[in-house]
Amino acid sequence: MRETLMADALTIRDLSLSFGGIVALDQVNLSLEAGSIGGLIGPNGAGKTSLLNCICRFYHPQQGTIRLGDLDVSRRAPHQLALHGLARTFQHTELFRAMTVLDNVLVGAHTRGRPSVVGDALRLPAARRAAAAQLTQARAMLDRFDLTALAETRASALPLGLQKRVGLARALASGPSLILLDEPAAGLNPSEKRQMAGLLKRLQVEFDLTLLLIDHDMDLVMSLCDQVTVLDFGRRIAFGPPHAIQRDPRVVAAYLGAQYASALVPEVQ
Amino acid sequence: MNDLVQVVLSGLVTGGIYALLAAGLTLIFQVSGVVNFAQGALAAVGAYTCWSLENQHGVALAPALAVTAAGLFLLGCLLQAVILRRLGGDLASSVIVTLGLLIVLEGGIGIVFGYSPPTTPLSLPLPDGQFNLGDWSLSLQELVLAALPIILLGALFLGLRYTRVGTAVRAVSQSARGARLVGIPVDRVRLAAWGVGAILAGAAGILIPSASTAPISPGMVEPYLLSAFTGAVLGGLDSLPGAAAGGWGLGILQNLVSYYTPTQVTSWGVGKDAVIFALLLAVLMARPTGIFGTAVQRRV
Amino acid sequence: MNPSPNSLALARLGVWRPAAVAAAVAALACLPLISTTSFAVGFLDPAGTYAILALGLNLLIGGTGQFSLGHAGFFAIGAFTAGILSSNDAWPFWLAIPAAGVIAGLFGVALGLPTLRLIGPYFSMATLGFGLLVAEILGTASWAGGRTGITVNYPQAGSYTFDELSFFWVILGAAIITYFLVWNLRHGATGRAFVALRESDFAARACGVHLAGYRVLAFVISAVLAGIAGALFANWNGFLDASNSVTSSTFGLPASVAFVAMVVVGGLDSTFGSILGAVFISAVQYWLQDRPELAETLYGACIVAVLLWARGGLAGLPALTRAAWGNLPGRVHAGDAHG
Repeated sequence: MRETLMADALTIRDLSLSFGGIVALDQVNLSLEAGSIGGLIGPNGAGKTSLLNCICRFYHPQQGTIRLGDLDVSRRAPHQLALHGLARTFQHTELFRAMTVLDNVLVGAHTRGRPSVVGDALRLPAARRAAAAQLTQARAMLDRFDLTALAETRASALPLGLQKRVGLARALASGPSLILLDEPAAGLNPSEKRQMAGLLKRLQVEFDLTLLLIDHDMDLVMSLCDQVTVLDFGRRIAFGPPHAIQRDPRVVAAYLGAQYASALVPEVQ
Repeated sequence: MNDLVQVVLSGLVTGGIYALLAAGLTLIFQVSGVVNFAQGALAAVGAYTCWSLENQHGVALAPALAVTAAGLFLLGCLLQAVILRRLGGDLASSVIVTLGLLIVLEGGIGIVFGYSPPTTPLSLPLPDGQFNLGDWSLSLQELVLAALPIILLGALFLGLRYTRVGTAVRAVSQSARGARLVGIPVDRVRLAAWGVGAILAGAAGILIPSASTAPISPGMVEPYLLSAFTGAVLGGLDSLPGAAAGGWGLGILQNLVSYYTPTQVTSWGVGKDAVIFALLLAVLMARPTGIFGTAVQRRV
Repeated sequence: MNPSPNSLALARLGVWRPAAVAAAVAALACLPLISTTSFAVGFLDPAGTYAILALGLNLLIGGTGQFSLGHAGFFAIGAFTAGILSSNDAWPFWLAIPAAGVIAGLFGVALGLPTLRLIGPYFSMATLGFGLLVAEILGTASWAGGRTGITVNYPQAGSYTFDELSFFWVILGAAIITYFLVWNLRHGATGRAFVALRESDFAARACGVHLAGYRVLAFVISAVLAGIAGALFANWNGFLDASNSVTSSTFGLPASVAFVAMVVVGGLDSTFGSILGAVFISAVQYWLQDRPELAETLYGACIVAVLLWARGGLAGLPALTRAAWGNLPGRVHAGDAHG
């Protein structure tokens, strides 16, 4: 009963985005149930990252609404979304390379600390207490991700797999309820991918998260996701559980071309 | 009316200097992605070199100009090869490095020539007298000074348009990667761009003493910098004709503003520069990256 | 394990051990007692004054990564505000200086807002324009002394009149307070937010960092500190003349470049580096005051050298030498194991 009363974690209605004359997103609809893991797939250029960027409010769609739970965030500034439980990882990690791992995670927790410029500058007791609490929480987060030994290491010095982990720790540091993951497994070898998948599943359960992930690794997507949305040329062409998507001729056509659709999915003529 | 035409003509003279500086800035930016904050210093180097050749070494004007141009070309190439190239694509460092070069060059001039302006001016053999056309009587000197940058920049545009080197430059400014793929030696094009950019700066530097009747000094170009950068920005930093047009436009605008501003307002300190700066800010705000769709605009 | 940011390394060296700090401050405070007036005017007062400016500027350049080439403008605004308030309206220096900071700060807001979204060289050009404009206005306007300049009387507190030597104590006190505030800012959430915006403004915003707010904040803080520095300058220099100001090395483009040099040569994003840089440039300007062209060439060359070979600047030298030492053949460096 609780599920039916609660609004979806993420609701996107009729989202359209164009740059100049190019249509990046065309009337896209997407819903994500709280506590579920959603996948977003499609050929290159389909608009997947653009969709995430719209949710984060880096891009401003010409049309459509975006809701986080009950809240309409279609007009919010990007930095306000962290306060409403949204966090994100990036395709190219976008870590703060000159900063240490610990500092990266501390920035992730920026909205939790109620930062006060004056308090910082004057080292007021309240500010110092808040900073100490933040530090403890950040170290706990590092510990959760097995990053304690690297706390003082500069992010730029880390190999990709560890960077991705730091990005994830940073995203979790704000205590979000919804995390957008842009290609979390890109660039990882098969063993690292399995670790990442396991980690994401555990995190989702442990922190009661909703996840929306983009990835090109079909095994990863199909094994992790409860629901998958498929985009092609900015339009949603399919939506449903992984096994249905794998058989959908439109999806196959989008990736491989129409001539393969019937060949690979013979039972659906 | 004659007054107004004279004001516009003077505006063209100053505008020509802005256009030369702006064009040099734009060329260098287009090809190597660096805003050369040392452009003014290069102009001063040009002025001093020419002056020195003429007044200290007794060289005639024409060979002095030729040697100055060659020297500036080499200097531009040197700066690009030795310093800028080592910084790779790091834009932040490029900004600071050109600043460093600005003061090294100015200091260098000071070391060789001293900071006080020399007593003999850098003079060009400009005609005296007036040019009379109907009701108008215009200064011949200004007419020539206004015409020279037009000729120089015209030659530059024609060169870019119709020579192979020019086409290579245009290719690199649009896409370095694409240019490399078709076999254009991008590094050499960058050297050339800096060399030519330095020459354009030097041309401006040589004209300034005649235009402003001020003696040469290491900081002689600084009063022109605000407008030079604004001119380049008006051209979006990626259009040479735009930069040149911007430069001339600003020169005329500036003179008109000066002409029509009551002295009371000027004594408050507000005047042509305020207008130009407001324009600069407005253009920068309207197009913050200055250019559409280049590497400057990062996507995540 | 790899080297951590310079400030952390310096902190490990115990820079903040109270006894050491107190001793250093006491030593500095003795300087006016053993110096000549010309040494004070030539080196001590400028070094302290520019240290305050550099601390603020480094928050902007080193922290948020926005390269302002126009801070001489804020310096001039502060100087002339204090000068006018002191000479025309007889404000005491301890009111005029904060007032100058506030006025400079307001201009910082006025310039910071429109330049908010500008990237790299575009931001630099806008600030360059601002600096040139301010210099031009202050050089010609009649209320700024026009061609004759403004004379500022010796600052007084009650019945005590400061001279160039004793005023150094005021400067020193201001510098220490500034260092304390700036260091705290830089090493707290605010400083992290600044650097985050520099490193990746997308990720920073996704983490909840308010781009506009923090960028303008950094800009305003640097403007206020530059204004205060200018006001201090007005008091110990005693004379303000901005004519020929565009080319002047106090208020014009060369000054803005010198300020950037202080930050870069001292060490970008290093609080202690700002002090080192200000002292270094001031020292160069003092000892080569008879040959300013050599001074300029020298610190211009230092800028280029730092960018090519020693990114951390003066503050980064310890780490640099450690790294160089560790790369001698035969020594196994701990970092090698990571590949």
